Amino acid sequence: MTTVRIVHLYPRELGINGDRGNVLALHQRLEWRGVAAEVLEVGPGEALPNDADIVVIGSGPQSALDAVNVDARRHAQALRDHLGAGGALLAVGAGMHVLAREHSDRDGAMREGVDVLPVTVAAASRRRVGEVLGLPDTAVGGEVATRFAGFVNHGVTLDVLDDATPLTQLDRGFGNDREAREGAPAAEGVRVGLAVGTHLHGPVLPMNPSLADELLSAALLRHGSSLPPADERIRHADDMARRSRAAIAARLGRSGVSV
Amino acid sequence: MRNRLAVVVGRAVRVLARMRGGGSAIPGGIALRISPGFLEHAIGELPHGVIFVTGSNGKSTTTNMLVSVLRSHGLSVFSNPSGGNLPQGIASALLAVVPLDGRVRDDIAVIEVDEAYGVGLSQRIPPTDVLLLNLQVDQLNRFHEPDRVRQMLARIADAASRRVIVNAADPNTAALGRAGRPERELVTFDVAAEVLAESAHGVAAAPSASVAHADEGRALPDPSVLVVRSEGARVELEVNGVRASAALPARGLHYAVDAAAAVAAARSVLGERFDLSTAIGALGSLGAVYGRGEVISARGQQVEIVMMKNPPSLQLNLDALDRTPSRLLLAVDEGTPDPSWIYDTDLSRIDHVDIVSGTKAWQWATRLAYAGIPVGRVIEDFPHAVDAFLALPAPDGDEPKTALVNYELMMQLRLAMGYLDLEGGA
Ligand SMILES: [Zn+2]
Repeated sequence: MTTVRIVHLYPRELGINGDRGNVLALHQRLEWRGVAAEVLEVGPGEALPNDADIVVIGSGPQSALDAVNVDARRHAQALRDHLGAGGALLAVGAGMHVLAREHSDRDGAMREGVDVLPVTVAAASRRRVGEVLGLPDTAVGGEVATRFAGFVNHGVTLDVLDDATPLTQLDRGFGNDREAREGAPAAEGVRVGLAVGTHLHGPVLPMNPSLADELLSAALLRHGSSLPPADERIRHADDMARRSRAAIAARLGRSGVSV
Repeated sequence: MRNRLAVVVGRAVRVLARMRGGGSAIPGGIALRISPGFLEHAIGELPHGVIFVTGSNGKSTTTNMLVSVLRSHGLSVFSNPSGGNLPQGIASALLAVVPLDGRVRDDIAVIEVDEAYGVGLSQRIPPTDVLLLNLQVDQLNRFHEPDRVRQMLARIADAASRRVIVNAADPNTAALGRAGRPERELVTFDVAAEVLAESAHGVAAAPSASVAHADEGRALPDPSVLVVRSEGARVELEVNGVRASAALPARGLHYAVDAAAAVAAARSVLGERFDLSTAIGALGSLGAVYGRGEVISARGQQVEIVMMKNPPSLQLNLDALDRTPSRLLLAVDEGTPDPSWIYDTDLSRIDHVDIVSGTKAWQWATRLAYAGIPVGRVIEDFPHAVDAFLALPAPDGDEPKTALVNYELMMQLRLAMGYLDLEGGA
């Protein structure tokens, strides 16, 4: 029988803003579908297991980022191997900064990151706080137009490098390097294959379950199986999430857009 | 002269504001504009000094307790009303009591101080004593991270000319006490290890990387006041080897810690005059503070208000529930811009929610879906939700209905139930 292995990296240090909700969403959505799942928490000094299917790393304050930055470099090769073998990764906020190629320290000086996500993260001149709404970058111009929504709270600008793409094209709220305006969307987050980085809280997976199911499908594919259909409990949770996104859209002056 | 003018104009504005049913900080703001030195002129030279009370949670409750304990010992005390903890709010409160010369005649001032505004305030009115309650994860949309608040608390504490009183059970405030200047008196209050071990989530201190170095700096003195038992709305305190039990305004270890904080501060101010049984009596005489475990009644209904100001207050208030609520309203609005942290809260104390409301209702409903906790109805509009909630049959026996709300909706709920006084409205 298949067991999906979810690794929660630094849950104590990087877990200040509901990050457990992302792990909960992955775990619960498998359980509701009758798929066995295991969550393993990995703290500083501990080893990353080599059979993880999905690695989740969450958000936290600058002090926590400073505290785990050196420890995290131990995992650089293991994380690259994980992604190379079809594993999935979700990195939110400071978790994304830690895994960046470079990010700024408390004083704004750039320093080396784990370099698993092709982004650089620099200190911004002001804090970016508020709700956001946007289309998944993969959906722009396409038929599927279910929007992502969430809340960002950070003080950085993000450069997406190489051939990586943003996760989302925001139509409202603060993106990687600027605020979205009417007719001028702003890119948010980063995606390279099954590695996803974002500043979206919500937390992002319960709020945007299509992303959760994408990561779960990838995990099950590694075991040669596919994601069973949603049951009533999942449909209910997703309906609540859709209404959450609709409420955010309305607050951002985008009532009625497809969420 | 400017202070006299500030008093006269501020008073006039206050009368007008009250006639229009408003409260508030506006008169104080005007007085401060007329005389920027209004606050220090008013309370800068009181015989027993100025105590600042600050921290993430429990400021209003502790201030209320400390004032009561000091008054029971015969001191006359100036204090800002609960919630009025910004400079304008404090100035408004002063306008209500000062004579024309603008100088308070009381023995001592006990001021509840907002963490962020307290930094500037502590420069304008240097406190003699600073009481640091705790540092918890709070208002991340405003403060961004606990470390910034830690720095704010450090600066406020640094302004104390005489004494710093810290919570030794919170590693954050304990470290701030250790790091303080050695010439200043350091007083602590603490929670016995057994009591901490029994509570589901301890004192819910903010996690911090820098607390790893918490044992650096000066040693903490033995606690002046120790919580040796916390059960429901009662606390047993140990002071100088003597134990006494007091009634609290609401249930929970956090209120027990607030009581220890207030007694420790009062004891250090009063010195020889301090009397434990007088203090215990003063604590027991307090009613619930605004929305913190307060039971209000209207339209033939009893509703207990449980506030979720931030993650630790929600968790500690849930931990302190003495029963699984059988009629529960849960409501959050834009006063809580990012409710992501509800996923960090252990919700095992509730088994269903009758009505979820507020602009963040669907986010709560999503969270509850993942916790497997059934929801009766979602009614975004809060006044309609309150009507529907009051229309539900009352619980059996003497159990009140329970409303779990954020600060802003707590205020609205009180108004909807006919409680017209406003917190902070001097
Ligand atoms: Zn960030």
